[in-house]
Amino acid sequence: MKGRAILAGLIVGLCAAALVGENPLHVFGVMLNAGFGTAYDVGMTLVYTTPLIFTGLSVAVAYRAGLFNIGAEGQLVLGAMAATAAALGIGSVFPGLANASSAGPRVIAMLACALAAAMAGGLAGFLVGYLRARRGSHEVVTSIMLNFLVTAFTSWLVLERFHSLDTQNPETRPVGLAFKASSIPLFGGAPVTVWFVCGVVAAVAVWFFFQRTRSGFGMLATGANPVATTFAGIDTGRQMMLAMAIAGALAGLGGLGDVLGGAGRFRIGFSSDYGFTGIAVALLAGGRPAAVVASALLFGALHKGALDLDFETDHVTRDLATIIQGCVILFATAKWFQGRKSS
Amino acid sequence: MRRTTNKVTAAAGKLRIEARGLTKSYGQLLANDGVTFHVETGEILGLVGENGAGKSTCMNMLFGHVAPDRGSVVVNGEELWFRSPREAIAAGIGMVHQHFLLAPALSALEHLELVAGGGIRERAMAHMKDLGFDVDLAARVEELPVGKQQQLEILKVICQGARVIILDEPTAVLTPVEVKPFLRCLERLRDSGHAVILISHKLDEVLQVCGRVVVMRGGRVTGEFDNSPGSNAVSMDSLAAAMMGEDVLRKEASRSRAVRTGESGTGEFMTGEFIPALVIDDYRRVAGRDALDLSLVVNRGEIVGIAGVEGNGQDALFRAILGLFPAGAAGFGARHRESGRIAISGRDVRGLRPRDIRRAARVALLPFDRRDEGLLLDEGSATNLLLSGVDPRSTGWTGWLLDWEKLRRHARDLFVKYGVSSSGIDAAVRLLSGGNQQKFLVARELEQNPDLVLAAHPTRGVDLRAARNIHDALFAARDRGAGVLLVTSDLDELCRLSDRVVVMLRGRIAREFTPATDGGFDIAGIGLAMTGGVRS
Amino acid sequence: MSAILDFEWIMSSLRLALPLLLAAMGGLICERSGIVNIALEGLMVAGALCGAIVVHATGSQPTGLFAAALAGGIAACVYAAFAIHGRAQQVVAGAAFNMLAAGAAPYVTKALYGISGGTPSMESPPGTDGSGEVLLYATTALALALPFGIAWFLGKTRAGLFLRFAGEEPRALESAGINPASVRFGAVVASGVLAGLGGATLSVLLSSSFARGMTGGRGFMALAAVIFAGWRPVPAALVCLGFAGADAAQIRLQGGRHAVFGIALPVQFIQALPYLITLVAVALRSGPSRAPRFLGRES
Repeated sequence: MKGRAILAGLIVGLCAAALVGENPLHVFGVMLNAGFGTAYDVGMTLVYTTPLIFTGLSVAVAYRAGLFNIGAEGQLVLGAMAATAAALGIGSVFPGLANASSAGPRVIAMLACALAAAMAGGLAGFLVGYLRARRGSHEVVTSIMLNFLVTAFTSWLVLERFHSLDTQNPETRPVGLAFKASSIPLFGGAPVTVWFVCGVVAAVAVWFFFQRTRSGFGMLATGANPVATTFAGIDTGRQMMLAMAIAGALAGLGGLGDVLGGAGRFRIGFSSDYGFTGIAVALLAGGRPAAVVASALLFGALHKGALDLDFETDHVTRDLATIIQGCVILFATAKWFQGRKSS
Repeated sequence: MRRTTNKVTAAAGKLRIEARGLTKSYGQLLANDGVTFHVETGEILGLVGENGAGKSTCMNMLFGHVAPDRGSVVVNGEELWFRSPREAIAAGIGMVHQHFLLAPALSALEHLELVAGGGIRERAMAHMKDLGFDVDLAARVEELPVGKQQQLEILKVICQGARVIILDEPTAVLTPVEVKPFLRCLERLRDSGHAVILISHKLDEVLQVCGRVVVMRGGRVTGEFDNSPGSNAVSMDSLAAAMMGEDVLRKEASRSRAVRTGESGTGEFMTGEFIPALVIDDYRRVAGRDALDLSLVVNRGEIVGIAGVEGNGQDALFRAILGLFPAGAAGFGARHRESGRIAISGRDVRGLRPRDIRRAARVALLPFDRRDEGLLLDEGSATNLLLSGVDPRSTGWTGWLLDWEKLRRHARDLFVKYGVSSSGIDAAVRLLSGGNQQKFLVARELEQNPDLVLAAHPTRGVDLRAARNIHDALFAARDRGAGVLLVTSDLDELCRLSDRVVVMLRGRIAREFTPATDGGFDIAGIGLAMTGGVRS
Repeated sequence: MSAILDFEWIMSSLRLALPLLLAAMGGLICERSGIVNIALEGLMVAGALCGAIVVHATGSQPTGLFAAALAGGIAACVYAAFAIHGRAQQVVAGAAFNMLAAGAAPYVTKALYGISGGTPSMESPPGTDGSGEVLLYATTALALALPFGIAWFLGKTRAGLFLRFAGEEPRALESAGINPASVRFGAVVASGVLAGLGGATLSVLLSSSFARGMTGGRGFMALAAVIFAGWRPVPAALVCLGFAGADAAQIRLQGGRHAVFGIALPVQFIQALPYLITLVAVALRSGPSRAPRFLGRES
């Protein structure tokens, strides 16, 4: 990973802290402690890492085919919404299933929701990929528009269709217990669930996909030299659409840790820019799946670390994390002369 | 601006440029070693040598793009060190590159205004008259034919005040008919107080106009010949000998004829039914600049050469055969009306997607632009093997998973067999020299026993030795029963390799030529047909 | 429908078009020089924030606008440093820049005012005294004249020629002794100035403070307009007016509950309308357009 970029970003962040009158070392200490101090802290870091693994992988897959998946945020939200809707829907048709406690039915239930999430996200991604491949539309612009559309759409769904009956918050009703993954008890109560493990598994799957499959090569070739790839008889448009569909599906799964785990329902604004941070994650990892996990962990810790800054300092807010992230990406890209990484 | 400008324009008389002991290394590679020669206004100097001989490096130093490690450029007795091409131009040295630096969307006049300020129009018209040029200044570059684009490039340099003009392979883009007037224009430049350095592979042209010829090999000057009318005539053989250190040309010519008259190869390899490698039957495509309307047959065991000036449909023909849409379309369906039949090895492929065509028939492609159209430059050779057009499934796949061991072994074998020299199969293909890249491409495509080989400029940018290897590979493919469709702008290569020659003009086949009894082709007739002329 | 598309609507459209127009012209200059400018959004944020702060401090709107333009230009230098000289992937650098701006803005407001996310309302909201209106009209007139000015600049001036060469064939520029990187730097800074000004119109002229997220994707819409119009100034301006018109209509529609074919249109749908229209517009414009040849390529 790009160590120097991370360091530079951190330094800028700490300077920003100093500028507003806070002791940078104190700030750094707060962040470190908040990230890893107790088992709970570590757990919360992992909780934030989970969606970042998925969105990081999402951006990495898209990038392999030469595309920028700026729409990961929208895909994540849409996937989470689809999973919630599926859970609520199944729950209302099969109430028995919704409250099952044995492993078998629960696995099926969660898989069904995961499938819904992947399909929804995949569809959104595919749309962007289709517009790019078959109509030449710039994927950044279409993705950003889709993000806004998803926000509006999910907002409507939450407020008009699935609204919570017991609270006033902009959130849906809770999903049945069967759908909600239980927390791994190692982390002092932090809702680290099986979805985190799924993230790691997904990274392995993506790695395998890149290394050993025809599509994995096809995407690499498409991203590296679409003209030569076309001449070799590979349909680059197809590769792009496939890449975006997979990317969308991966991002769609990113929200499950929250809606089918920690929160157990869909809350408007639950995503702390996981989609956009995923870009930073992927970049720092050079698009390599294994490094994505490590990179996601870094940004998860950053996010958790910055949360406490609101309380522990007078002038520094959690926005510091965003600032650091932005800087890290900037520095990372500046040193990334070659553009494409080799397989 | 350096003071030299004033000196140069003040001395509107003779301008003498000397390269003195120019030496330049790139890491381990000694590109130029003590190169020394001179040129003065009022003469045309030829500079010849194989690829990699150091000509480009030398010129780069002369016109300020690169600084020498040792040695200097001397202008009228004064040692100068250029820090940029602009300083070189100020001293009177200008260069016209082989690949033009023109923006297609902008007009010719705008290009001149860029280099010489507004109000250049008058001067440009005057220069055009002097040189016998005729460029529509209001036209956008993309609307100008290649020959005129070159005239524009020369105009640019002259309008900037250059008096020593370096031309890098200028006739590579001209039709045979345009070459004569071009050479005459060089003579006009010479006679109007300019000096010309002509870098060219075309030894006959060099001998036509150059008063002196400098030969380079391995970074050194290996010969300087006086070609002025009074002296003993310099022969192409002696030039070639100085270029390559052996009498290669003669062997080359005699060899190819023996190969051709020995085996004619039509139908010899087919037992049973006779199936041509490629049949194009009344194929028509209505598509503006890429229009096509032709019929053509390439038999197995035959090399058919296509002669024609670039841009007359050769590129479109290859794309049509491969099922590719013209460059630029974002895969947006067949807007172009197509009709007719294209069949490879008996299977109809017109209208099929490229992937399906590759599955239906084994087609190898040596593309027009190997970097953009044939290779993944930042990947290693093993990965690049997967990009083969013939049948990606035959190498490197076990089931539907990639087998890297198999791929790497294959890459290593190919490197040995085809003599690709490099720092290893894992190095990015970008790092291979042009010649080695081409050899690798040829290896990749021809090793898999294709039915049909589409070869575009197979030895472009490749030195004579490597070119020979590639020709051998093409012959071998043909002898194994492949049909080869060859496009090349090098008429010598075309005649050496082809069993038959067709001339393409504006998307159609204008004429077909078969070899005469002595095995040779009517080169003059081919050249004429390429421009649309007919011999009376 | 005609009840909505009236004179009020036109005035409203012009107001809403203001930030778009300015940002789009900035984006166009930058893109024509060969640098992709995804960072327009972040530049608008910088301008909006700076404008609001300066107006709050000085009470003078023109000063605020001027400062915002300046701030935009300076911020653009950061982007330029990475996009041009650092040879960064321009799209990624732009996205990172936006992230940085989005994070830095609330950070700054917290530091200055103790409020996280927005600036306090300015003392003299626009319209209470005559000067606010005049400034608004003047700026709008400028924004409407700008496309023509830029078209003239590109076609008829030497600097414009350099700019176009930088985007089409920078090597030709180099051989003429001009550094394409310098030309591009100038273009990026110009885009920062214009986008910053555009952002400031949001906080200074069209409302009375800076709020988190107030740019709402306008930077991207401006870019979409440029792409859709084939990188030509006057058509791009027309597209911006089109988008703004849709936005203005949307705001009107929100006023009551409306139905199409008897189905009640949810508020969110109407809010999403501008984005939907942008998406459809971009999707409909098919095929390769006349992008500057070297757009996005490393120099």
